[in-house]
Amino acid sequence: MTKYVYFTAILLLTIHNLWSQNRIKEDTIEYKIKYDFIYMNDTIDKVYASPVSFTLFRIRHFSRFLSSAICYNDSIFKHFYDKHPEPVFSSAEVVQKYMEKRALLPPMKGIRSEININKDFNKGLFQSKIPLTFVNKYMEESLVQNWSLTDEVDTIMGLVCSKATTKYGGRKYLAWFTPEIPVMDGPYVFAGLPGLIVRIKDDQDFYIFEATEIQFGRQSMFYDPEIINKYYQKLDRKTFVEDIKKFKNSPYVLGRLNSTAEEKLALKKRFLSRMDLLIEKY
Amino acid sequence: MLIRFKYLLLLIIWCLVCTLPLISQEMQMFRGKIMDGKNMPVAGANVMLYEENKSHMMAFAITDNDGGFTLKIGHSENLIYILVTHLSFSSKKYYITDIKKMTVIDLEPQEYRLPDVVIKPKKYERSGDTLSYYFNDIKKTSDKNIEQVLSRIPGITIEQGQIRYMGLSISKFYIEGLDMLEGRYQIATKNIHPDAVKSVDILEHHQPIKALDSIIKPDNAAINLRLKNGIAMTGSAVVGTGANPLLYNGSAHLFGFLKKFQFVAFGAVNNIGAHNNDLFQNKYDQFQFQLPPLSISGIGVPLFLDPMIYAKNNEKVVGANYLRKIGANGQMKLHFGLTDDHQTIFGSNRFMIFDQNATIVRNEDIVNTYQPRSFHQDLMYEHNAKKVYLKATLRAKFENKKGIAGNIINSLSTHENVESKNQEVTGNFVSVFRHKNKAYQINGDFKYVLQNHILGVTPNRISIENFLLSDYPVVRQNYDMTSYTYKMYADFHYKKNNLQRSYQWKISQDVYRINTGLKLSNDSTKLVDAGINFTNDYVQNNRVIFFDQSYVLTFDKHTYKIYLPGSIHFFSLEDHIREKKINQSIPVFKLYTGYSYKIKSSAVLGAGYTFRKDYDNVFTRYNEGYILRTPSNLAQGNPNLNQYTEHIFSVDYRGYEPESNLEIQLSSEYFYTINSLISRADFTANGANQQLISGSNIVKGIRTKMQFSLPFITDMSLKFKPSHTISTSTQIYNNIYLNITNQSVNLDLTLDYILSNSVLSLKPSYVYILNNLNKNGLHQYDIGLGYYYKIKEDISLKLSYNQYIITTIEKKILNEMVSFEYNQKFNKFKGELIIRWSNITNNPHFISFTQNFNLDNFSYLAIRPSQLYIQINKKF
Repeated sequence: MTKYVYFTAILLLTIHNLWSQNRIKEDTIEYKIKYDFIYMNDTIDKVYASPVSFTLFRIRHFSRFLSSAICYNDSIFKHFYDKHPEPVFSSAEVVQKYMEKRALLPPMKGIRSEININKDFNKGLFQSKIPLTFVNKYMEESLVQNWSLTDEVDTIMGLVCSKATTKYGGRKYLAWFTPEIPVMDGPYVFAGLPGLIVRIKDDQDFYIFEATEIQFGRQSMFYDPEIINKYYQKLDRKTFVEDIKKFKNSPYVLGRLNSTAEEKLALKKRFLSRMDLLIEKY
Repeated sequence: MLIRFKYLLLLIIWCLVCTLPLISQEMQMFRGKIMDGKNMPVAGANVMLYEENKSHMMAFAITDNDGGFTLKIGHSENLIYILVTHLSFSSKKYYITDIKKMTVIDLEPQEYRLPDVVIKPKKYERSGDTLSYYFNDIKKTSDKNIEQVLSRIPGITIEQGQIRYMGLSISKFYIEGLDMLEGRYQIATKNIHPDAVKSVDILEHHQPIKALDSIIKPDNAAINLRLKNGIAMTGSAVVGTGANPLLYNGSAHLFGFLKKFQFVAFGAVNNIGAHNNDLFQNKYDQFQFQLPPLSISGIGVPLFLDPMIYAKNNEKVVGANYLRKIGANGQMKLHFGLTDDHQTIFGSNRFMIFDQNATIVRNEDIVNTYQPRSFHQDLMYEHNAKKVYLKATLRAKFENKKGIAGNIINSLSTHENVESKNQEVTGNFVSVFRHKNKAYQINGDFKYVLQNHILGVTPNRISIENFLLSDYPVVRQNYDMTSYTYKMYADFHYKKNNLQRSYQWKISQDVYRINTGLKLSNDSTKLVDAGINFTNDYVQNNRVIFFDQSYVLTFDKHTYKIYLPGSIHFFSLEDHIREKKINQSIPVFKLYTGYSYKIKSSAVLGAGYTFRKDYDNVFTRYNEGYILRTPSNLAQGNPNLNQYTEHIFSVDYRGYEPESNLEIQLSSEYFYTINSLISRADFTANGANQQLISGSNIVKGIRTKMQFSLPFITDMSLKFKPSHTISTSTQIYNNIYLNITNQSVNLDLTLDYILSNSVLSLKPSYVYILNNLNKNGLHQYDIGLGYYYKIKEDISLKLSYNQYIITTIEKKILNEMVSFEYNQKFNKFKGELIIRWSNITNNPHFISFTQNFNLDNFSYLAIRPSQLYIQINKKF
């Protein structure tokens, strides 16, 4: 039993090391905008899931849009590993000692949505990683969205916003952007308007992104610059959408294999209501 | 008709030609360039077209890398202008007078100032890092406990009783600033009524040690409940009954949370085989199972069997926690637990010990009654001031265990009784001293143990030097042990570029004194000491200085590791009876060097070599051979340490295939160990005996493990774990050196089929054990089939079937177990109903079989008959 625990601990620590520790870098960002991502998880009774916080930040000609929980966890990891480098796990005692230290690691935030978007404004492209942990596949498309301006003007968060519409990913979207913040960026894959997109939703109200915090000015940030690498597989839109659907209907999460029948059933039910995974269509 | 169509076509073309100039007049292209005033283009500038006195935007463009833009401009009655904005430049308004003219606009650099952003206000009060919510503002009349109210606070989520704030698990759950429950806060959140609570504080970045405040600011959160009247009482109760025989189970909790002190009281009784005593186990401590040095005859119980299937018990448990504030910075915590149990295990063993010439058959009918009584008490004092933090914990444990066995061994009634007393005192301390912005920490712990065990076996057959083998109606052994241990340690870690270095210093000392003895009597009145051969008085003292180093060098995909733990053990062993003394300074090394290569992002191949020069804990060796239950020659403890040298070569691969979700783990190692002790077993007409003697014993072999996991394949999860081990070692059996090769193969499969409201589970496993001295191998098949069905949100059923089969060429053993459980929750009643029907097939025994080259052993463990059990859980 002790051996089992020992090997499991080594495995977990190594997996963790592989996936996160060494890739987190510190860089200077130009702005950081937090959005609430709200999606309808019951389209019959029109019930929404509780909002998921996302962060949009800009580094040089790139901008990233990913879960605020991931941003938070990355900074925690970076601080911790700078302070406590990983020893060689060559005995149960060393593992136990290190696990004791790991216990001091502040608890991580739960990641409720793994949407991860990288926009390259120089190339006019965005990359969208399959929003599932440990699935190394992505889609790459042009950043150009054909926006149509409307006459509507509204005030959101005290900012004067204009309304524009576009079609993307099989849905029609309505966006409110503010020329008062001259940034052609926005949540998710959306960009290309002459002002920050403060709010955007699809015309069926299934998916809503709303700004909650806006910060400008250079500041440092810990993040994982490697949204994709050479081992990642590039997919066309159809395969991308189908792969996500397949997972949603038959969810898989590392470490859940030994869970009870009740827990497995609950996992499946939970993923049935993960309508955020169906945001893309073809 | 064709001519008419031609004319129509010409007419359409003519109309289009005439209209084109009009269209081109309506939509004109306006081109321009945005520059930075130093003749450099500005990329990414927003160019927005507006009509004078109108607020909505007519068109927009974003400049390219050359600063260029193009706008389509339609007809307008009013003046039109463009507004150019950029994050790094001041905005510029430009009226368009000549659309056809290429326009160049210069911008002036300017630091961007964010306009005033209005964030929707939230209903809370903030003071520093503390957010306070008033329960009256957030609770609803339907809320029955504080969990429901807490889940309504923004940022708080509660899943399976675990509270998270902004996705972080909370690090402390205080009630009026006191954390009595230490992580068992579900007891409070599920049982305290919201009316008793005034407000809840969320303490962000909570550092519980004041002396570390501002030096270490943890990114976590804690929760503090403030009570309305300074008092809250709550509780829960469980009542269960069943048949046949009559089953009972009852438990109750009572909590009191007051401003100055808090308490929880708990009591439980049952005879359904439940071990409520486990509630007292400190989950922070690593559980270590230790066999008692002396014990009565028992029966093998497979580890996978739930005690509720076989244990006949009568357990009574009482426990309480108490916490009190002392002054402004002090806190005292007291915990105690009391257990009284009466467990009976029925069954039988059938041993056959044999060689080429003879066979001994030993039939045991076991009636084993075990009566553990224990009391444990924890006392903790914490002083948490700004400059000094002190925490001292003192634990005391007293155990008294009695065992009585009225067994029948080979038709001879044999009586055994054992009485064990164990007294333990452990303590640890943590101290933090702060000077300006530096803090120093010292930790340490100690343990003092006093044990006394007495085992009486009647009758027993003992061989005493110079005497013939004799049967004694009364034989009584004693074992006394006194020990104390302490350790202190400090760590240091450092990282520079690609190299990580770690150092650890530790000192420890452990001292054991062991006294054993044997008394005999031909009648039960006068016990006579059996002599010096049966008496031991050892003192073992081991002082250790550790210094461990480790280095990790990482280059891209390559990682090199060297681990150099070194220690010196100043070991001494004094035999006061035989006047022998061992004083040794033993250097211990455990060199490890390893290399790993990252094949791709989800796969790693590694290889390592370990060299160990170590020794076995001699203490365990001296306890062997003093249990004189079976007809045997008495074995002496061996005064030599088992100093061994070991080489291990290992390779492993861990990979994950994203395409198929397939996880693969493969590991294989070759080990070669040279031991200085060898096992010697003797089998004569007088009986069997086994002991360790000096001699070279090489143990070598290969262990291979694999694991393939396909967690979900269209509603199915699958895990397959094959493993194989082969090893050879030497053993002396009746003065003959035997080279023994053991082989085992394990195949373990877990398959779950997940339907919309149910889960079907299949868990087959197979074990094959082969020994080169056995003619045939042993096959063991376990088949587990489970079905879980959720009828409604609050009603579920669980059905399980298990089959255990053991076969050899000559034998086949089959066990079948079937059970059923119904569960219904009554939310209004705050209750739950559980109906369980266990051992549906009414099996009388669970049969196990093990074999070795000189031994066959059948065990028949009596299990509870088919029983129906009903339980009601109620909260109040």
